[in-house]
Amino acid sequence: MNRYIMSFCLVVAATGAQAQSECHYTLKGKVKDADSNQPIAYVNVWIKEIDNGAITDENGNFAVSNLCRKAYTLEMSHVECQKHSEQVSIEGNTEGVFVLHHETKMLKNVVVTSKRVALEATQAKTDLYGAELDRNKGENLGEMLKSLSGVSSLNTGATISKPVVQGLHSDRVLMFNNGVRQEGQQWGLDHAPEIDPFIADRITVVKGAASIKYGVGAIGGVILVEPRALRDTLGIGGEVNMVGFSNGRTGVVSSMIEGKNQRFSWRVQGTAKKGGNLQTPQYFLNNTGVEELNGSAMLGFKWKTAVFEAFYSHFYTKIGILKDSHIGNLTDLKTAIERGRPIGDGAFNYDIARPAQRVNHDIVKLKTTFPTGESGNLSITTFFQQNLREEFDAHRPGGKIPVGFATPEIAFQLPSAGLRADWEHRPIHNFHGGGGAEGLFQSNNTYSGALIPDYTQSTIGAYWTERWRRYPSPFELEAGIRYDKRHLQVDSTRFGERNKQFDFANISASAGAIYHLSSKGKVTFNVGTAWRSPNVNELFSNGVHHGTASFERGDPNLVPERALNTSISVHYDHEIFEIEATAFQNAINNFIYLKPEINPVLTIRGAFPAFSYNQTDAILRGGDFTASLHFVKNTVLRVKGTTLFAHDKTANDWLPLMPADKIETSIGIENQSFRYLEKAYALLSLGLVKRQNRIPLSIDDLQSPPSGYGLVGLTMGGNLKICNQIIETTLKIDNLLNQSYRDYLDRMRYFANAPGRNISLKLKTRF
Amino acid sequence: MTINRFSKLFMTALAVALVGFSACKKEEVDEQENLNVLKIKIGTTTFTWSDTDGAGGKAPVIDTIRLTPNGSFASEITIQDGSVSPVKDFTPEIITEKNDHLFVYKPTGNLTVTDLSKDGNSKNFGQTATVKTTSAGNGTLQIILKHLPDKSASDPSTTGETDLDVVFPVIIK
Repeated sequence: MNRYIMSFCLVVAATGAQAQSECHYTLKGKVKDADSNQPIAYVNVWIKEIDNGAITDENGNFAVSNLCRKAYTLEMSHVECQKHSEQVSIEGNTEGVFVLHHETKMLKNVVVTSKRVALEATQAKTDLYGAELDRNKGENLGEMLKSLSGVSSLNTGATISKPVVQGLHSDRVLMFNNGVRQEGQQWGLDHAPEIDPFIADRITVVKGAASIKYGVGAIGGVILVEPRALRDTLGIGGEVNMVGFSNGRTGVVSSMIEGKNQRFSWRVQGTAKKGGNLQTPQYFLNNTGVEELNGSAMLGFKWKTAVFEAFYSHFYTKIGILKDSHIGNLTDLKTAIERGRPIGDGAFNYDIARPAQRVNHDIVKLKTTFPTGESGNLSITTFFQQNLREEFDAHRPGGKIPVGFATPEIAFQLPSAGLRADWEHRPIHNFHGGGGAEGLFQSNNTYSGALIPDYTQSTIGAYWTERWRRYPSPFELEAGIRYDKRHLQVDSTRFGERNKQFDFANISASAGAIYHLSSKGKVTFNVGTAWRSPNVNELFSNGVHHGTASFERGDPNLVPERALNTSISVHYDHEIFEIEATAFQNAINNFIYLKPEINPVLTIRGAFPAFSYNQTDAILRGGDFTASLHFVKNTVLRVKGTTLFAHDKTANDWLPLMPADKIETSIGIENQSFRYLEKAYALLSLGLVKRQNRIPLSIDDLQSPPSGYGLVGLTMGGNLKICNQIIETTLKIDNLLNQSYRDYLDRMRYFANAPGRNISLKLKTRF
Repeated sequence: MTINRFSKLFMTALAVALVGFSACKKEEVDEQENLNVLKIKIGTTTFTWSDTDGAGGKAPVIDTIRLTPNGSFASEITIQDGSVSPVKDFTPEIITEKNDHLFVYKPTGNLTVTDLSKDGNSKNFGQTATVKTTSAGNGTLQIILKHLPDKSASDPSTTGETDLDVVFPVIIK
């Protein structure tokens, strides 16, 4: 066998440190063949510490930005080479030439790297990782993602928060927990994602229609919750996170321990959270406590050329709901709105009573990746998951309010199983890409309550995607296509639907381009089309929604929604400033929404305004931007803004429940060092949210949108050194001035103010 | 179609796996108890407000209360779940919980409701009362059952939670 020996000799030339903050350095490198002095393309360059990397282009160039002043381990691999590690010390913006003794003969035994470098997306996306992620830890997923531009949240109080991406949410935004499509009861406006954010090392939000790789439904976007890759050095390590919040006197502990021996690499992680009644500047919000207990385990090993991964996660939460928001009929709702605040000033306690929600979610995932000869890599993933959602009312007409949590008024069990195969071929000429197929099966079992009927749903789909770049052309092109078929069978005596069948099938497609301005900037353009089949609640709802005192009626004749999404993004990364801006348009035909009916529905509890699920052609246009300026060394000025215009084309009116425009400015110092504190920083921010004036005239909201508001926040922290142990410390104060406000997208705005000042302390240490 | 056959086979396999996964299936609990019939006996006649198929669906069936002028009648309310067989009577349960409940009467026209029965704290409960009429004419009688109201409030119907809220047309002739 022809052993192939490869060696890199590293020439690192550090350029002088510019007026930049600690973690804004860029490593630029070129990988060359030592014999021919020709550049080598498609070398996978992975930086272990940041769990990210780049692929060399046809000129052998790569660049990785957002690096800190420290030593990094560079892992380089190429489909025809062995993996090679190298230490690189970053002192400033760094450029290096990596020379490779390249032979013309192909290597027979291909070593598969378990980590893949994601190609640059042609679609708008944003992510939360590293220090920015740590600063938001302890909060729920929806609240954490709010800090990203273009992302808002739809709340039922502060403890139930759903991410809203470019105006869309619930079934229109898919979530992936470690590569598994999260299948919960996401249709509900008060059903928050059942994911422990402590699992994540990086949370990515893909904005706009993104069905090609992610499947039916992703017409608004995709949220990827990704854990760090398993440990690949021998030994045992871990991490402990402790977070305390003053408001709600909430405590969170999350620990992780991981290890690797000769055979296996493993990780066990767990999170516990307990919070009590939240407090507004004027009063406590009774029964707004929360408890959470989550755990996950991962195991990975290699066998011959295949890599195996097993993953299990359990999520449990119990959330109290403000008693004053639980109303009997329309008169009660109007009375509550008129009162404008809860009865009484409340008090602090940790007790969770009815009304409340309890959710359990379990995921089991098995994945294997192996090379298919020299043609590429195949990965096969299978998963089982089960969602159990229980809701407890504090109401029983004519009788005593039930005590305890033995008999939920609403209980759904939603098991799902899936299998997918993804094949990625090795680069052929100038093409990178691959395809795959997947199947998903789920059934909904209603044990109690009659919100949605029992059903089974099966979906199969297949996709192919390719990317092209021929150097030195600055253009990079991408296109993908997908076909999905979904079968829905509704069988529910209580809905009077016996064996009702629905079939939906359609194509999704996407095309995108990146224009590389230089190594500093790029313009990306994407146009994609995706579809979403109507959900059972849209087809079959038939009853009073007690949160909104409205009667909702489904329509079994609804047809799928079809979105055509266009976006253009500009990214520019200069030495002292960075800018990222996106403009988008999402045209959604047959957009499903609740349309008010003329006549109210008369019930024994009085008349309720009636709404039925209807379809219209909607168009959502908007933009978001983030700009950072490092005007003096170790200082930062950052501005983030989002705007959205969501229009009902048919009715020539605005769409309801869309996020208001917002802008956030923050200013601060970074990278300060004191005796026991390193990398210290302090950031003062002002977030302004406009009053939502783009509301439909045709829908009577009972209460006009609340006024705009501005909140001041302060975040500071650094690495505390105590007895040779580094404790990453964050002190964060939200709503510093303890202002009273209400948000348009918070359903509790009818009943109470949003929580007041919240001081949190976050500690993280590794061992 | 091969693809169809494949997909069917694939789905069957997944379904089998799924059944195994959800083998710990719980017993289905009964449909929630529903109050959907309110009867008021005025004098010797009983008038019914009934919506046994629940909210939506078929429209409620509402009797017209017909009374003679210048009369005084004893009244008594019964509350039932008429969607089950035999019909379930909730009145005894409400009487047991009378401290937490209040029947509010809001008549219009030549009609008054007085002498509401009392709860354990000598405050109004109103499951029985006296209905009085004056001269002939048309009107309505609204009956609201409140849960945990503030019985001392000037208008207790704006406090607590509404269990029932029905309106009967009234003809006094």
